[in-house]
Amino acid sequence: MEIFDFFVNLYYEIRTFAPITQIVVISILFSSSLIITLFIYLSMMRYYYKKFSKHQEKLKPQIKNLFKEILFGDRIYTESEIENDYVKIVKKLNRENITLAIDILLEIKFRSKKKSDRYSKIVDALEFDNYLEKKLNFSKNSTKVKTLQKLQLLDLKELDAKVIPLAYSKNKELRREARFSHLHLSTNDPYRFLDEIKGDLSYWDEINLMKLLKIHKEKNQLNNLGKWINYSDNISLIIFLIKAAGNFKQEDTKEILFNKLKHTNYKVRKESYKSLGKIKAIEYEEYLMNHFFTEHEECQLAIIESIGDMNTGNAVDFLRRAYEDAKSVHLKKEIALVTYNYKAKYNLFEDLKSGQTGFDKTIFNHIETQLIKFK
Amino acid sequence: MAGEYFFEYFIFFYSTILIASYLMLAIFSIISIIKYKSYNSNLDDETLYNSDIAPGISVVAPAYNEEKTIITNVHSLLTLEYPLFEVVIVNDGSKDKTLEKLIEEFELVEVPYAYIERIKTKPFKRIFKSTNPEFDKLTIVDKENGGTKADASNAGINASVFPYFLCTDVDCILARNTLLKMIKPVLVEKKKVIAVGATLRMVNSCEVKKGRITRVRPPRDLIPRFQELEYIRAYLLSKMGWSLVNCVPNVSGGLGMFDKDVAIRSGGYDGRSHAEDMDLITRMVSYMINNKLKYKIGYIPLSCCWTEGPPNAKILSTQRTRWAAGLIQLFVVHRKILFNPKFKRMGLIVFPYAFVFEFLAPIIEVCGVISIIYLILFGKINWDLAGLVFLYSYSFAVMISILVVIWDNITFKYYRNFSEVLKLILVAFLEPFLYHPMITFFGITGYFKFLSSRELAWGTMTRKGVES
Repeated sequence: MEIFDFFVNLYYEIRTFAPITQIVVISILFSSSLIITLFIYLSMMRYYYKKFSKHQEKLKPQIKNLFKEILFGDRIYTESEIENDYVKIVKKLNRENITLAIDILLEIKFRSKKKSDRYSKIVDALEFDNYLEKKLNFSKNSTKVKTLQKLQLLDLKELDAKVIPLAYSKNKELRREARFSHLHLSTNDPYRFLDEIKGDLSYWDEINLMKLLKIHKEKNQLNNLGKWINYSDNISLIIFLIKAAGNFKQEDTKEILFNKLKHTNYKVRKESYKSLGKIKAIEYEEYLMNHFFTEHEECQLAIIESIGDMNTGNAVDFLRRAYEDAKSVHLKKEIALVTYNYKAKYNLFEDLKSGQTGFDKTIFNHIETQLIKFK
Repeated sequence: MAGEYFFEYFIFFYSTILIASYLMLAIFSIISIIKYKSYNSNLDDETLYNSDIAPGISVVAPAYNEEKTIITNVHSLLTLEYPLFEVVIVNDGSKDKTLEKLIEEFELVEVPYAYIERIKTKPFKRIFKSTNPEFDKLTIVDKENGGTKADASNAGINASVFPYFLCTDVDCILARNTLLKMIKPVLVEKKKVIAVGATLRMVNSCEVKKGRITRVRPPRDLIPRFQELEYIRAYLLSKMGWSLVNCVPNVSGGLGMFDKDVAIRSGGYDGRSHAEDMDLITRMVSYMINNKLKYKIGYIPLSCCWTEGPPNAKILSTQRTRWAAGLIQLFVVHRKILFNPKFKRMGLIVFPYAFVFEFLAPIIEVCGVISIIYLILFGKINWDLAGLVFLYSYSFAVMISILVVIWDNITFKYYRNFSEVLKLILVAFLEPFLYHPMITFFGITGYFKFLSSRELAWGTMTRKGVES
């Protein structure tokens, strides 16, 4: 009661002050009480952090050893043995300890030089799928995003059905990650969401999509991307897929890429030129050379790169004319680089170099200097 | 009498608006931090690190008379984790053995290099590359001394090959995942991200092994410890807070990632500026606005860079006098931006806020001190009210500092023990008495020196070097 009386008295005393003094006094009381509260909060935060990290530091080496033994050892563990051995270490199979197990397993999977086909044994024994499924159903969006990333890394294909509803989430990060996960996990129709991408792709989208397409390629499950290049009305997606078709050397897309050279958007043309080079579509080399002098500068650079990738030995005269016509240093450098690596009977590089003086000569010296890694 | 009251009321309202703005920034900042932590993880680093299409980054670091630390720090820069990067060290006409040490350690030879002077600098002399394939990412630019970090950085930008460059000081120690973390805001945004910043801290008492931070500690000495708190507050509260509404005023010269094309088109760093980092951001933003291009300046809450802070008041005064001169110079050079709606957020939020609460603050504080002295001398002071007003700002300043320490701990727990966190909190209580008056004095000195056109010492700081 004394404290209550104190505050009541304080309230009436403050009311007698001038308005500015009232504000000042209330602010001081507010700040002071907040200082104490924040300090207590910080102390608690640090206390629990220390307790938690001590606990983890103690368990981590034991769990790592167990998992390494299961994954790379001679003995084949049964699921119940894995579960029992894990519970022996952590005492209780709760949420915190399963998260720890997932993190350690992923660390071993991506950091260890040894490969194993027994990852799924640990996943099944400790029922990671049940735990992650619950997380997908009952957690906040940011946790769902991280859970989806873990599904991909653990390759939990059986949870694909749980991913699809999230692919229509209002939260754009969650929607994006769910679509990536579907592309990774689905066995029936992984490319379903390529048709539904709206708006420009970010660079991060491209990096993730390329990673997933690469996984499909490694498993020989990569579809011909020409279908989407042809019919998509999303320019940003078309540009990305043209790039991917080139990267994965999809020869079946040649004709579609060639048709894209007539596109009004120079970025589409630029990527098509590059990809035709990567695919080594030498039948279109002449077309590329004929269109060089009327193209946008970025497309000119792409054509030169493409001619270099094709490396047919038939473009010596063209490269000479292109160099003589080139105004920008970038273009001159690119042509010099291509001629340096060009396999033709005639040494165009030396010929061009001998006619140069000043900075233009330095470009050629720069190109042939092996110590310069990034030209 | 009316004049006295006017000043008292003015001070009260000024500090109240400042307090309100800090509270607003604290809220903005925690929203940004939570958002960042929610949608970024170390799993992203794996994805990016293994990507074949990640954009290349050039790490540009100027060096002037850095023979003590150059070798360890270049080794450290070369061990950064990123799939495609180069390290460009600019020897800005060092008078000591910086260049000789580099040549010896990294087995360098002079090479013909198609150096294009896209930004004008003092004459470039030559370029060195290593004959050891282990150091093939390293490029050393040797140039005549330009007298400023800006001139050397510009030469590094000219020699760089990738579309983004990360500007740092050669004596700074970067976290190994700095590039992976700092490029992420550029990659996720659909708008053009012209620059990205991250938090800097003091290296003074940290444990460093082979150019890598192995244990973070708050500085033992008081002045660097004050700066640690000041830096965390400036980066985590202010810049992180402003990033929520795309109003980041500045990306530090110690650590900043920039879009090279926009930086070059904006003219690069200005060698005549005393605050070249803020000047560059101002010109990059002006360039984007003048060309009706959408832009964003990103910020990440992580501490990625550790730098040696001035260990004593003398060196601190040189640094802060220059910063203050840089601030006044910025408002003189870019005066047309201030309160100009054509420059949108820059003209109506960033510049006015910096003008009123950063540029004017030391002037108002000095006026306040003079006014108090006058009131004391003439016996007109109301001690009770003066005490209350002091407590008003003091309690708020301490509260904000503790809040920032919590934000820092939410972001990542850099200090191992709570006792180390307490050391930082202790300086929050001392700062208004010891550190803040010094900073105000140096600020006023900087303005005075700029206005009286007196020569300012450039950022050459006597370094102890990091124990390794």
